[in-house]
Amino acid sequence: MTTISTDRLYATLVAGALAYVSAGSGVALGTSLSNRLFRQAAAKDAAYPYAVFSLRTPQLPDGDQGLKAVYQLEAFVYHRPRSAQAEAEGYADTLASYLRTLRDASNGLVYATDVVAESLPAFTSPADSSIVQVRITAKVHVWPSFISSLST
Amino acid sequence: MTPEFAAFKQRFERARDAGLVAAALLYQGAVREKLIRGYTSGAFVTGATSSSVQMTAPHDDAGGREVVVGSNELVALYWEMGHHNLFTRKYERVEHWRHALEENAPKMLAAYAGAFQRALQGAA
Repeated sequence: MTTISTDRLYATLVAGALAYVSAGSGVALGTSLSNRLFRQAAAKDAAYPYAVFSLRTPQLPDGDQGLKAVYQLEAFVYHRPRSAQAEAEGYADTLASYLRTLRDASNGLVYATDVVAESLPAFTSPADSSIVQVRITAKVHVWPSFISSLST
Repeated sequence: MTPEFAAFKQRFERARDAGLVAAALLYQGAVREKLIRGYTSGAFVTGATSSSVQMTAPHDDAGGREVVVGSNELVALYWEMGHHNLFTRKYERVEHWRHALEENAPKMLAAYAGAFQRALQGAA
């Protein structure tokens, strides 16, 4: 894990999520999604199911001397048709589990709190009602790498 | 509870609610202003989504005292959360609510503080 840039943070979160195996399943999320976990936006005409990660609204909260950044993480799992609702929710649960158990101090410190997964209702026209959307949100706390290098 | 403390508590609670309402009114106005221009070209705007933005009275919730600003128009949910549009044949997302909150957070804090102070210092 590196906290040197947002790009590296994305890369690490995506790699970690794809490799994550939820308890009892024995299957990595990356296998289930055929590694279709995108940053910010999905590839054009991506096959279903797929997921999209985005780190938004980076902030330096008061009280931490501007050292810690907090990102609002938003992820969506997309699947179709509507009969795939349960399957999509399963992938979202796996993503949520990954975030809840995320504790990485290999270079800086990264962890997530306030993890919530929620299915969106079936949309109607003009939206495609056959697509299932499950939203996962969390706060990702990022302490810079010198915190851990100072402690060695 | 002494009569003095009871009076202060009552005034404090009134001030807190006044602050919440002031901040929520500012946010409600900011969202309505964005929505009046619509989500895309503005060609299909009827004003229904903008006028659907409502706020509740202050009330207790698990996290404390709150005012909720929201809309029951599902079309707003489609655009804010993103959807695969049948007409444009692509993924569409335009976020007005989150941007309005981020743009107006300092003003909302100031509105809360001002209303709180005025209500706390006002007549008992």
